[in-house]
Amino acid sequence: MIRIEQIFRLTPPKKKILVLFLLVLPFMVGNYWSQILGDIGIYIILGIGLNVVVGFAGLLDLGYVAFFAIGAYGYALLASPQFGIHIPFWLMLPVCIAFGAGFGAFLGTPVLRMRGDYLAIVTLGFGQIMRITLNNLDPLTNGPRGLLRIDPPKIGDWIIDTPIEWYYLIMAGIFFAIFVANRLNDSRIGRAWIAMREDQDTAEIMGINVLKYKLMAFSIGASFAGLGGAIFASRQGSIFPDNFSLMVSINVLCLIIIGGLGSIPGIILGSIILIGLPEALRGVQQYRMLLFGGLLVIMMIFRPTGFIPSARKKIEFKK
Amino acid sequence: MEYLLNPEILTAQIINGLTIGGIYALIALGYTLVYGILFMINFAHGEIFMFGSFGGFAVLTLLSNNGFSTTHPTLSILCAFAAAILISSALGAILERVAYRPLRDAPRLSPLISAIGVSIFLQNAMMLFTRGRMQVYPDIIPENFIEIGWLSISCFQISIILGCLLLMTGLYIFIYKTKTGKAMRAVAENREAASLMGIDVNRIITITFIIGSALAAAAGVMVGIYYTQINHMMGFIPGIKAFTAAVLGGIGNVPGAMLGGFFLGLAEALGVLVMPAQYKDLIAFGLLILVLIIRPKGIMGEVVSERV
Amino acid sequence: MKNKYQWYCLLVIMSLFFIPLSGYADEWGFITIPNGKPIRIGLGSMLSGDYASMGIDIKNGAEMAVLEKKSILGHPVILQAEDDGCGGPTSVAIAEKMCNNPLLVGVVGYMCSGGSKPASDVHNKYKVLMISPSSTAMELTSRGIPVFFRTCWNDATQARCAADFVIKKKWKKIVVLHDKSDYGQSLAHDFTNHISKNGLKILATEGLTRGDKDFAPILTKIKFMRPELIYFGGMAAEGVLLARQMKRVGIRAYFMSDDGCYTAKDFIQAGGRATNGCYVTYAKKPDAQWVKRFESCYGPCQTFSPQAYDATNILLEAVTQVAKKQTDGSLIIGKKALRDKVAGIQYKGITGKIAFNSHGDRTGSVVVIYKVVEENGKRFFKQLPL
Repeated sequence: MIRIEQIFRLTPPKKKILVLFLLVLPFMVGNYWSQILGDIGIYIILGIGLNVVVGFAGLLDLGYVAFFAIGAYGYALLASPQFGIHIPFWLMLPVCIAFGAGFGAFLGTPVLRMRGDYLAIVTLGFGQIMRITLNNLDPLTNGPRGLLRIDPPKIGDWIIDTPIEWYYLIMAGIFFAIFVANRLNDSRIGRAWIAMREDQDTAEIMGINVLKYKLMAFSIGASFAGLGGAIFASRQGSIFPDNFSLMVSINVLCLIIIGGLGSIPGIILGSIILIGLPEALRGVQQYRMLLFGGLLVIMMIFRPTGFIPSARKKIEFKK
Repeated sequence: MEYLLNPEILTAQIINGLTIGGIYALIALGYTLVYGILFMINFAHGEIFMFGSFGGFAVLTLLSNNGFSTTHPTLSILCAFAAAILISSALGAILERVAYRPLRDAPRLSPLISAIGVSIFLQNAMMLFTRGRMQVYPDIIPENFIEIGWLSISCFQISIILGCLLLMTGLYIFIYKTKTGKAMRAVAENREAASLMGIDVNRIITITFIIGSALAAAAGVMVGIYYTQINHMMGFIPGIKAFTAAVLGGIGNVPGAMLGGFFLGLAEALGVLVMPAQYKDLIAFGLLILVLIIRPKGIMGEVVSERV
Repeated sequence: MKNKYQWYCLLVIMSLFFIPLSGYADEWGFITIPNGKPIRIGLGSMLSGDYASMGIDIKNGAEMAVLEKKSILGHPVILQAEDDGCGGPTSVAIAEKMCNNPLLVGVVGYMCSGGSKPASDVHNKYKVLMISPSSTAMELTSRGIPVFFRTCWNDATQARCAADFVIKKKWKKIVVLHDKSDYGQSLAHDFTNHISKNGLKILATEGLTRGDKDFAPILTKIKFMRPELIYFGGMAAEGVLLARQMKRVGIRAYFMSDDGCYTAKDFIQAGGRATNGCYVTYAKKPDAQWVKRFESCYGPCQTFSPQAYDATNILLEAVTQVAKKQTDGSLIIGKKALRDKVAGIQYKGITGKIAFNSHGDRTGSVVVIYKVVEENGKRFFKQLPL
């Protein structure tokens, strides 16, 4: 239904310009802003994943960070001096995606019978439990001291370690994620999710196995976080349990709602606002988080459906 | 396990658990009241609690600086409670008007984000005001202890438990015995039908926010007097815990929130006896998940809407 | 802004061509400060959030040093303070920002070990100097990062100092608590190691939750063990609550903690009488005159302001010695030369003589024991004789 070209409402020549712009962008802004763009990119991947859970399937998940942590720790444990195992990054990517998906299915099975805000608090609990566990499993994760010297990705002898090189890698990850999310949204599964989100009981009567599709959404959403986590761990070079606090879950949720629930350009815009804005506000020093909080409220009041709501949601809201 | 079987430790832990549980319960009531009516999680509730605590702190510091508190200790503590309740209630009402009312018909998650924004804003406003420093409640009344053998129970703990019970009874009577309380229940049941019956829905929602905030403010002053340390981040952890307690009891359910609070407090205190203390939060959240798996609507929960 | 940036880059590249001619070489490259441009000193600490109080103190210390120095060889010095959020992606982003600023000579920071660890990798990549006033984790110096130094001590030094004192006091029943942070847990771990090496046993080790206020349950459990000493690795926010609640629960044991609790306001004042008799480990008292000057500008001197002041001064001193003025008024500073100058520095700072060992740690014994005492109605940290 929605293709990338349609999302950006671009005709082919404009699309070429956009691609060109994205390709030269890091060289225009330098290393520091490329780093920030990379951070934004990781959040876009997380946003696309959480959007599958919240936007497509309508399950409020406040513990998304748990899957992000699984991806990151999964990569860090198997590609660092911690146990002397050094599996290459490219091999680990699918493994981390599988970690995320498997863990999503594992956590989802007992809790997906819950509805609405009960699910929200249970997932929030899972997120917290994950962080506390990582912080206390000292022999495995080094606890609060974190895992250090995590391997960067290598292509032959070429080590990817500058922010600009990472920018391109993350870009590739985003395009992959967008592709998968769009294919899902247009598939039978996507339509089942929408039916379920709109009215669970009716969907069930129409023959949709609600639990199965919910679990699928949860697990697929988690697999994106696994991908994001592997990229995050490898890029930062060291990870700590504190990197996976509740604030990450909240940030990802905020960005998909600010952008417009269910829409991928919305997620991109939301990430730019949510992660880029605090950086852009550095000029105002200690007032930046104050302004940020205020702006969040103002944005919601003036654009309650987000900046770029998905076409379907827009129609719904006008009704 | 040896600790669990020792009656003295067990008694001490139960009192510890009831103290913190009472505070969780008071905050949880604010979450549950707002949720019951608007179906929204007021994420900024922890910050309302924090502002209440600071309000009480300002008044007590003022009174102890001019010597009033040494001559009238009880009166100054009552003043602190009054000031805190005033500040928090006003804040709650303003927030409702400014940040939540414009979003009442918006998609369900929009008010949640607005609340998160308010929470970040209030935290940082207080940080700028206090320059990030810890503030300390002045010692107004000496802390007396009731010594029973090995046990020593602080009179503060007893007063907190009694104070919480008193406030909860008051709230219960208000909701179930007064006309406004009846109107609140009606709005919670069905907002449109209530407004057709001549209930001023906006007024009732404002009152709900004011009551929830007042309870949080009372908890804030209790925390201030009992633990003495307050700072701009103090609302975060109790906020999350109280929210957990509210869900544990069945969100939207007033007696449920009270029960959930005490339950959580007791679980944390007794959990320390069987597990290392670093797993305290693990116990709280683990228990929550366990309870919700067995009873998906909380201990005393009712059916709630499930649409996001 | 972007244009300016490109202009600087161009200048740097152009000046690189001239350097070989002037017979001045550096294997890590050069920092060039054009005529009339200020020299920037970076500062990374937590300026908002949980430990903002400590971060702002660090900033104040560095700011004071920069304001006093005013200029180097005709170039004004300015402090670029950034909020690094104490770890995670923000610290890495800030490190990138600092290292990519062509006018920045070095960074004072970062505040937390959790931020310094990933940031030090970035700094090592660009070979930009960093001197931390407060990151004490062992891994920072043991990893062999040439650009990392610190004016504070490391966890092992501090834990050993505390353990030696405990052994001297012949306390036998010891309970160790920590806040499950990188810092607190490392200290508790090193303390336990040192104690057990000397044949003493620890009754129990327990972790707390940062930001928590209610420690009565865990203290009730500890009371049952009847300890003589409770050692706590962590910060004042939790430490002072422990000291108070220990008394409330009725534990009659000594309380000992670390530099995180060495703050007059957040520990002694906040704890009231309950802190009397508590022990803390911290550096030797900074120069009294300096403390007076500092307090007249910024209010009470807290934990790491003196270390930040010294770190900034060392950086400024090294820049002064290494910088070479060109005929066009610009300054060039060799990165390797600057690093070697800091590595070999013999500096008389307000926290005592400062010299670094080959890993970047301070040499000599830095940490001493303080006890909170009440004399003539005033309560303060009293240094115990060595």
